[in-house]
Amino acid sequence: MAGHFIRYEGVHKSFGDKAVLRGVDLAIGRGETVVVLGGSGTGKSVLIKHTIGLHSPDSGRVFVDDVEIQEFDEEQLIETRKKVGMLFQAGALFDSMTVEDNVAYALREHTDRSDEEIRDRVREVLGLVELEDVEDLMPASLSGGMRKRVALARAIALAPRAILYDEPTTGLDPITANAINRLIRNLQKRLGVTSIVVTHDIHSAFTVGDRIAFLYEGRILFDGTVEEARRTTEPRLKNFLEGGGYG
Amino acid sequence: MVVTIRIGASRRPNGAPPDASMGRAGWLFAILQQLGGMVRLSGLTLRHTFKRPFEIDLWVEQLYQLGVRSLTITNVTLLFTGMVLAIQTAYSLAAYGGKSFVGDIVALSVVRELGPVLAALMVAGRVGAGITAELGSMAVTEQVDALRALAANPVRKLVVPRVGALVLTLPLLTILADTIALFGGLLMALFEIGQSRAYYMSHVLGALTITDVVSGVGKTVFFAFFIGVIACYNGINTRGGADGVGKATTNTVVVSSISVIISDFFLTKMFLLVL
Ligand SMILES: Nc1ncnc2c1ncn2[C@@H]1O[C@H](COP(=O)(O)OP(=O)(O)OP(=O)(O)O)[C@@H](O)[C@H]1O
Ligand SMILES: [Mg+2]
Repeated sequence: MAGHFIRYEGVHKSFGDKAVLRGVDLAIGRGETVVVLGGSGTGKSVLIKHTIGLHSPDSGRVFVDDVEIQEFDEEQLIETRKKVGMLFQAGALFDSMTVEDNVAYALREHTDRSDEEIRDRVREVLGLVELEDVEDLMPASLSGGMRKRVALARAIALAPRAILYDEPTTGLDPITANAINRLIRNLQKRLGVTSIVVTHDIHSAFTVGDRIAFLYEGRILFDGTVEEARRTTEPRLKNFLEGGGYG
Repeated sequence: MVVTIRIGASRRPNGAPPDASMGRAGWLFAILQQLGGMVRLSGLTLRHTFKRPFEIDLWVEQLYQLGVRSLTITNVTLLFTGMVLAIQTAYSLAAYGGKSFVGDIVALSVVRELGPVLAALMVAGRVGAGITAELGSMAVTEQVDALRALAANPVRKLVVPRVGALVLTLPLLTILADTIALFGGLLMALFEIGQSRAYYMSHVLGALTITDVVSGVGKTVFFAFFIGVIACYNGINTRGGADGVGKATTNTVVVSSISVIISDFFLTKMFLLVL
């Protein structure tokens, strides 16, 4: 299975007596983009957080770059977290810091680049998400869509080998959303980044995905190429796609 | 050993948070779990405090936020405590010739007991609540998870500077507030009781020994650590939006205040034994 960068095996996760994940099996190849679809509250965010140890499974295994991580402590997870960037659903920007400090956080923490190199890199990644001259602003003064893009810039600043996108285009206008879709595509094509994209936006899903995985009642009900998803006869996925998601 | 953080919280096999349906046992479970989490967080905090690289900027920021900005509340509290103690002593012990002991009684009760405890309670209210509210709103907006996702350790980045700053500043705040309380006593001795400055001061200095100062100030190191760990633990483990932040903040004030009062008893006994 050396071809996989991220792999979940029989992942179970409950909160209290609420079983959210009930045996998720899913593998994402190196350089591949898999879109995870599913209704609200089905555990998409919970699932991708397992990838970097923000949740640990009650049972089952999680592999990242051939390392089994589910038992790792915070120290041991550092290497995995440097390799895998995450865009949080609501951005999760540090609101006591400027945009620049947010985006530069991992660069300052994990590289010995000079202040100038860091400033350049910050400008570069902000450019990738189509933002400029926002470095000195505080997150509170940004619009929702801008926050999301700053958060994305922060997630890609260290040039991770894999990126987890939790609803990257939700709340963006169609033009910016398309720019983000292109960015996801470009990161994959040019840098071979492996991606998991959680989205409700069916258009985005078909644009950026190589494969579609449909999370339903705690399991992966459907896992196939975008073409297979379009022609699916699986009634619940069909229903979901025809409902247009909620995007 | 696996030290997963739900920061400091124990690894629950089924992730089960205690809930009302568990009745009385659930309540007990919740308390034990909170206690266990705090003990674990204490261990992590101590371990990371002495590990390089030191986060100097974060420490300086917290020393200012927690220390300098608590000066008013602790000093005002102890100024009036010193004053009231002086007049209470003078009047209530008048029949036993208590007037002449005003300096002794103010000095001993302030330095051994009231200074440390009242300063700690004020700091538990002001600083403890502030820490929990700040970290709690970070937790519910996933900023704590974002920190972890960026491969930074929340214990190092958030907990150590706050607990450390508290442990450094509370003893200093207490020494200053003690001095102010003695000054408050002096004001009353001069203007209400009719003693001379020299008389009052000689009783203050005659009563105090170095042991009194060490045991009084020594206790505050422990108080500060307890307040810091309780406040950080509650903050980082806050769930459930703004409502959760409010509850966590209240919990911090209650639990850290009680911890100060209860641990004061045991610490006092301990210092009596060792000094
Ligand atoms: N830390 C947590 N503690 C308790 N319950 C949680 C926690 N995180 C998630 N849950 C629960 O797990 C379920 C799945 O949540 P999750 O955020 O993964 O849904 P989602 O599929 O991402 O939904 P959405 O599309 O609305 O973002 C929800 O019912 C949520 O309440
Ligand atoms: Mg989600």
